[in-house]
Amino acid sequence: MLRLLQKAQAITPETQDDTLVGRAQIGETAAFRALFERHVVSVRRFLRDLLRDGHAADDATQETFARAHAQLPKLSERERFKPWLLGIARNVAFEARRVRVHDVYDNESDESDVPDAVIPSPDPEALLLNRELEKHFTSALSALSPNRRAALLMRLDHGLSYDDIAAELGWSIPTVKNEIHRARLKLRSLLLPHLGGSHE
Amino acid sequence: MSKCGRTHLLDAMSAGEVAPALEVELRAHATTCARCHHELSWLETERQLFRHRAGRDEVQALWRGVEQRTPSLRGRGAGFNRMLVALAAALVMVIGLGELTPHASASGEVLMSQSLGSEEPLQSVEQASPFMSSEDPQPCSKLTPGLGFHCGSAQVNVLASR
Repeated sequence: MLRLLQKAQAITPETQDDTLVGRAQIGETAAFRALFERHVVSVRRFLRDLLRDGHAADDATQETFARAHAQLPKLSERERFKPWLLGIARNVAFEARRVRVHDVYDNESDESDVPDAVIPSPDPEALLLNRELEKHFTSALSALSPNRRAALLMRLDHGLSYDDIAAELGWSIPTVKNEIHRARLKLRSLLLPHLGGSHE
Repeated sequence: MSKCGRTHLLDAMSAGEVAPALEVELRAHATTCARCHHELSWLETERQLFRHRAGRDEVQALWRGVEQRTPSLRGRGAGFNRMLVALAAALVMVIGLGELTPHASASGEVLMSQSLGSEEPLQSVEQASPFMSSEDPQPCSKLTPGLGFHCGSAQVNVLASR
């Protein structure tokens, strides 16, 4: 019987998130720890992209998981753990941003940005990634308004579906698609000079 | 570049949301359609840029921070496991008692187990049970592990480790 109990307790890389969520909901700390280890890196990266500050991102990451632990019993759709977690992270980031005096965002300044025109294709040769390009990429992301950036990151960096993004941001699906499309155009226009783009 | 009705599918393809057969079809189409070729090259560039940024953070330090903000998480891992083991041990003991003493209540026997709190062998009747006395007219039988012994009118079962 002990062996059976131990077997039931085992957490492996194959253990699905929804299973871990169920076990964490009944108080199994090891299950919550496994969820933490599985998602902490992407949550921190998401927060660093939103807050543009490594220390603030660390703080916000801890706050995100602390809130997630407190609110976990309310999560009924267990398979939606990741979108739900990123939704909490986004709220934490937006709250943190409000209290950061030095953090001046160009509020929604990119809303009337790049016209819906075809931006030249990037040069594949220029994609030999280096720190310089990474810096430009981070800078280009920072130029997006916080909401657009959150939507773009959820889609491109964290692989969320449009449905999940719409649910977490409280937008309609067409709005999500439109915001991500515009964010992409802006990002591409900012990256192009560093990618040796060419018209086709 | 002229517009193409399939360009919007490339985003879903890039996110792994289309069937493999459709992906093959879209990739073949992109080799001949300038608009789709252009979009696909950007999508792949974006994907590479994002993938490159994914690094490893200080997981352990972050976990300690979460624990500090969540008192209920502190030190519960080991406690939870110990609780499960104790529960399992109790179940094993209950099942064991059931197997060893099928007529326990009928014969008026006294059950004892390792829960007495001592791992030392029993030295006397008084130690085995406070309401039994060595002055009992009938002497106690020899202690047999797993079976117990008789003392007067009572039978004492001592559960040996199984």
